[in-house]
Amino acid sequence: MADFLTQLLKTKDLKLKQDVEVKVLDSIDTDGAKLIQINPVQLPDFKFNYPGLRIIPEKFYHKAVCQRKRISAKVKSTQAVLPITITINDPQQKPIQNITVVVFTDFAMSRGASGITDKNGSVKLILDKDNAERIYIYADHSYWGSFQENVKLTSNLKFTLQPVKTDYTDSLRYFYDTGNWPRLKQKIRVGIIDTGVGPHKDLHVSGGKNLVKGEDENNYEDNGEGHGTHVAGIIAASGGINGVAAGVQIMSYRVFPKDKGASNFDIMKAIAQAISDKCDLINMSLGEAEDDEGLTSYIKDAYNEGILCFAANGNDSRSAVSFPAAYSLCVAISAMGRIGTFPEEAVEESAVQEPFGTDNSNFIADFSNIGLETDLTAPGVGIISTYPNDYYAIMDGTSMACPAATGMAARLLSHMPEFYEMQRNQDRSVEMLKFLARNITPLGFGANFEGKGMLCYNNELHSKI
Amino acid sequence: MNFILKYKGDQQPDLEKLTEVLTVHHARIMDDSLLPHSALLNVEESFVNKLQLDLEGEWDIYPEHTYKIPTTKKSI
Repeated sequence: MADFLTQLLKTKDLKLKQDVEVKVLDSIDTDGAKLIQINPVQLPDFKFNYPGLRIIPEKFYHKAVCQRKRISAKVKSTQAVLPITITINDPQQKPIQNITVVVFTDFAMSRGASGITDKNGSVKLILDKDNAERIYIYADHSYWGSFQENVKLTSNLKFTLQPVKTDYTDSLRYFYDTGNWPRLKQKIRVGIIDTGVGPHKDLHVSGGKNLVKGEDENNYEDNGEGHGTHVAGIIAASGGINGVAAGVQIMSYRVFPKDKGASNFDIMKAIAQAISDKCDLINMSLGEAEDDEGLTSYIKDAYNEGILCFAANGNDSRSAVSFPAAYSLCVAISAMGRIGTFPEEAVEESAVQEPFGTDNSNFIADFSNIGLETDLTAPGVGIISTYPNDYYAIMDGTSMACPAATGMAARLLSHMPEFYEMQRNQDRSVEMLKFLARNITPLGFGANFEGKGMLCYNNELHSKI
Repeated sequence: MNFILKYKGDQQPDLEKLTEVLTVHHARIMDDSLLPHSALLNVEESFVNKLQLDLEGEWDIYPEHTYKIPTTKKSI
């Protein structure tokens, strides 16, 4: 059992259902915060039954005793003993340029070397051992990455990358048969706060704004990193591939300067713009460890205007759920994957880790952050989606799981009978969450990893819509 | 250093009074696009506590943070 401090926004409205056992242990005044005890397994049901309640895990503070110093030196370069050339080719043995190769001779110590292939598909590296514990090979687009373990290093090594095929059944399409789902006809609008979106022939962007200080506010195309375009494709692509909610209106709010972090103030501006543009859902595939009260207030404003914010749990390998996902008015998404939905020796093999689900081919990705703030899980391992300038790319992360959930929420809400008549206020957000709660299937990972489960139409995996 | 100014009240804020206080503390508004509710402010960090006091509890001040795109790629 776990204790949670619960700020009851409407205390008198709290009528607990008999199947959720909640014990009030303490209270600050009659209408103030409550200390409650609840089984963590039942927490997702409690949260979806009473959306809007702030539920904060009880924390215990310790005396500020100085910790012993720990050595955590990471050796980044050592005495060179072995120069090697690694060449990356496609299946026709044509060299591939701009591929990132990362060779670890000691993974735990982060020791090794990395580089990017030249026009001959080659990269020269200098290493300290003749054996690589792990080799990761990443392509920006068009190819699956590669993962190798315990490789004997010789002066010349060659690897072949598999091209991305748009008809491949990745984990997203295993669960969501996007190729056979109809386009949404009802108007529903999703704001994407990211690096910008497009251009891509499979994406139609309805509007947006560049909120980055000093940049042209009318240029809300992708800044070149491709992240926002990939996110947008998972939600709304239509053509070469289909997103989960093809036909939905997407708005691009660019907050990331190229290769830099996004200011919380620019994210606040983006949320304010999404409210002004009357978005229904906001996707935030971003996060940081620390709480941020400035951003919190704008997420709350969105919630009070009938807009739900979805946020990525973060990719810090089982660390605590990042902010803003951890904020109680955000829907927090962890990433899961499925064995058999990526090629052999793909980078995605390295993401397979316990826990496995009821179907033991399903797993929670090794990189996914976890915790009881998690509301839902969604496919986020080896996802095929759009990349700027009409390419397709594979990406992994809670960044990909988040739009999978946002897109599915958009598709489900388009079937919610009263959705289009409701006033834009807090009650609308509550009703949207309650409706979504009726379309969630647990996959057997446990609440700490998957929250209440995965969004599915009529609680059926492999939803037929 | 940049900070975010966020109005706490329900009524319209007194921007004239705000401007006077900011001027006293050599604080400069860097982005006014969310006024009258929020603004991005540049002010010397050591002035922030006094600035907060002089704003008489009507405004919260938070540091500007940066958010990253969560990546799963390994690096050396």
